[in-house]
Amino acid sequence: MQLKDLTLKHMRIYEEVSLTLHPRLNVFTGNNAQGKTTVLESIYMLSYTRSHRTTSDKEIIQQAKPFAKVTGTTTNQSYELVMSPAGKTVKLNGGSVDKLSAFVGDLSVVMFAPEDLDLLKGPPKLRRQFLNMQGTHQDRSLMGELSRYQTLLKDRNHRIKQVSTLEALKNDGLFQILTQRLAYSAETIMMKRKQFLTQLSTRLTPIYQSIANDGLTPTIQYVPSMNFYDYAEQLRDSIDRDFHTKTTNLGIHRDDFVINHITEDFTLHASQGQMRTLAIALKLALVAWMKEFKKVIPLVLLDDVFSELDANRQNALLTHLDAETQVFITTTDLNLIKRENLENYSHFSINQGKVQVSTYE
Amino acid sequence: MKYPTVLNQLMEHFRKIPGVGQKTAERYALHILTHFDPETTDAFAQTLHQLNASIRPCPTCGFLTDQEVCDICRDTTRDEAQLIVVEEVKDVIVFENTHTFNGRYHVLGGALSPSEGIAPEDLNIESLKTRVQAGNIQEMIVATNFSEAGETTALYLQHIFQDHPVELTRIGYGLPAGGNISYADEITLNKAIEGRRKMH
Ligand SMILES: [Zn+2]
Repeated sequence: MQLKDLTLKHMRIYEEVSLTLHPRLNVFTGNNAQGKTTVLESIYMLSYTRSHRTTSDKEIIQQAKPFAKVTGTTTNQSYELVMSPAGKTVKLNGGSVDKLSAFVGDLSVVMFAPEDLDLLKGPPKLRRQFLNMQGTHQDRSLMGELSRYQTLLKDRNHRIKQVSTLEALKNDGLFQILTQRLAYSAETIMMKRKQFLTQLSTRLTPIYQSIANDGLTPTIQYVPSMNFYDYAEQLRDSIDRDFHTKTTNLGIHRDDFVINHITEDFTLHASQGQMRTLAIALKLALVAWMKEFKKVIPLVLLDDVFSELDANRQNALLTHLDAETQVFITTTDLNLIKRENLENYSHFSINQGKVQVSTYE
Repeated sequence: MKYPTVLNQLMEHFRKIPGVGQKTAERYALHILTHFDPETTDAFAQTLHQLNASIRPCPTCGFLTDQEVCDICRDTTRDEAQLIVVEEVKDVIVFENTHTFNGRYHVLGGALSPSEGIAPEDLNIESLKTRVQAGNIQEMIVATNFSEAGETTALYLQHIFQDHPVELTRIGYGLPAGGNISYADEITLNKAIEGRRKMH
């Protein structure tokens, strides 16, 4: 996959800018808050329709402007995303798309950002978002199933609050139906998640080892909130607790995963360097997974992380990417990137939302 | 500069209709004022006035009627053994337009959605029980939408009628998941009735 050009309009600091992109390597330099991350954020949004660093579209739209717009073209597709206070609209090849879900993931993008360390150490919510990558990039039916699950979960939680006694809840027909449907949906999602994490784990271990070479063998372990048997029964057994807490305590909305070395949580004793390598290895595993199961080589965005890697890790990262991978790097200083990695590339020097381009072949 | 009060009021009324915004409401109101002759406007007002006075839900099936009981329920040539259960009044019209079904209907008045505040007691389920207990209905064809609420409602009906001597079937064939009955064309709907399957 290759992005040929990118246009930002009213995106954060940018009034309007159009960039012609290098097929292999694009490096964006500039001081902080000049707009280099915004370029990567824009590409990310063309894939995921949301930002990797904020949930507020308002923050992204340039001040006093009615909307923000990103457009990009690959060799055979064009993508457009418009954000306004009324919401988001998207276009694929110039045509409107009814549902965002028909647009999400069509452009294949994997980002490495400083926030990735939070993925491993932060709240489980972040890891559940990561799990949804499977639906975004490969299994569209999973996206539908997740949305069905959310509806059923909301209904079940409301029903728990509507029925006044535990006894009545136990005998409530509607509650039983919702429980049964929620269990069925949870089972479907859990099976898929388990498969996804197994596929990812088998790729993660060798990638980590080749970068770190420290004898550790990280593997991913799925930590679902339910066991892999009679799902409806588990939900029924939880009814007392659900009634008293007025919410559904079990289900895929409480899922998590951990990364282990043998049987122990990898992140407990890992050094900062090991954590950083692990975060990179996990994303590289995702890239490898996308290549095999989505049959596509994704765009790789390296936001402010490349410069923090020593020469060995920089090389290791790049050797794991296919030669035809299109890479986007932001850094404060071009010198932080090893010279041997800078042969054919475009350099975008960014200052206050203004861009100067030099291309080296 | 503002329009006179009555004209503004009329616009406000139009704006309560889904899909009608400020501009459209203005166009409608001005059109009535300038293009309708006085007789037409009076007839329009009369019709609106009669709407609530004469039309109400049929106490048996929930469809609309200006009689004691609706036309479908009064029609003795219709098969009492088959009953199509739908969410909305307009779904009855959709099935009627296929001209192949000669049984009766039951309008639930919505679908179960606790998160939107719609519980079993908000739907015409008691009247459905009464009809089933009367004993003439042999097959209940559940034709709620294929939305989450519609599917939950279908399963709920199965749940409450499991001990009754009535066979529950679910239409399905050819209708897309998540789809709305009223968007289906006649051919698809006919196939959906033919391809219905047992729920037990
Ligand atoms: Zn009737």
